[in-house]
Amino acid sequence: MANIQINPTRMELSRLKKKRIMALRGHKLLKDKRDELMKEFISLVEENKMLREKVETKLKKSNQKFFLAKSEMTEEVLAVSLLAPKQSISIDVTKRNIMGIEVPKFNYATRTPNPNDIYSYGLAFTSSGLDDAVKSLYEVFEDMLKLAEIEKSCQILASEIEKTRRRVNALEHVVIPQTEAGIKYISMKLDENERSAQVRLMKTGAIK
Amino acid sequence: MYRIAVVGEKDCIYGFAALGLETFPVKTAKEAKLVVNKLLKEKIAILYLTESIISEIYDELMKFASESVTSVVSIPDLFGSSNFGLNKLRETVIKATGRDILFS
Repeated sequence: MANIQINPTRMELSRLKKKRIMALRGHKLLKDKRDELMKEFISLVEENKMLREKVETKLKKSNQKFFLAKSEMTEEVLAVSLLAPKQSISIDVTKRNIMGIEVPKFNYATRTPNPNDIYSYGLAFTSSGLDDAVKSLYEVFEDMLKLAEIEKSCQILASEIEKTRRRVNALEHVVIPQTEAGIKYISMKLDENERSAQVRLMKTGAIK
Repeated sequence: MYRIAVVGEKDCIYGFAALGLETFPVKTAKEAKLVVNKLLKEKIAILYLTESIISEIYDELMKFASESVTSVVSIPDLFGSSNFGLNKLRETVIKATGRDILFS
């Protein structure tokens, strides 16, 4: 590289040679990491797409059911029935490790073990449509949880892949060629110096 | 323990209350922004937002969410899905791989 100043010394030469070996090793490692991440990412993304389509169609159906349920009773009754939920859900976040990158894993816990606690209202004043709607929502919930987990993992993996790819490219197209050019420049210069010393000695008659 | 929050128009989200999730009904995106900003400071693992709301505040939201454990997920609203979530997924794929391999 012409625009970078390098001292043509033996010290510098051995330093550059070491740097080149290191860069080559790093490049290989990062490339392997990128490929492996990409493999994981693609399978995750496919699952993400499938889940999202599933969740969206299911939610749409459940929204329709809620809409119908709402039309079957007065607004006040509906508001009161869902005002005080019996059930409550909390989430435990653990980490899963993909190639040294931590992605979240969600485990949910319900406050009460009884699955019927999602119906938080008396059955006297509400329509059966509401039961149906709440049930359909409960059924899609598990998929929604999984979707949240996978979507977050995809985002984390995507930014990690982008970072790794950038590093691989920087090593491949900048660092390694630059070091190699430096090595070449120094060895040429050193050879040239040696030759000129030889010629000088020959001219003065020190050697024949 | 972490919690789950649902933010959106009242008609789309009141059902989630029955399951035991925390619902925060809002009318406009501006209102949602205030609620979400408050929520992101708490221990929320998953934040579900309806599409009409999330499309207005997505970029700002991801700035915060990408640094925390919170997973932000869009859910369809009463008008059905506008494929917002899938479009964002496609953008993620393009960001990672450099081309659209998912939908081609």
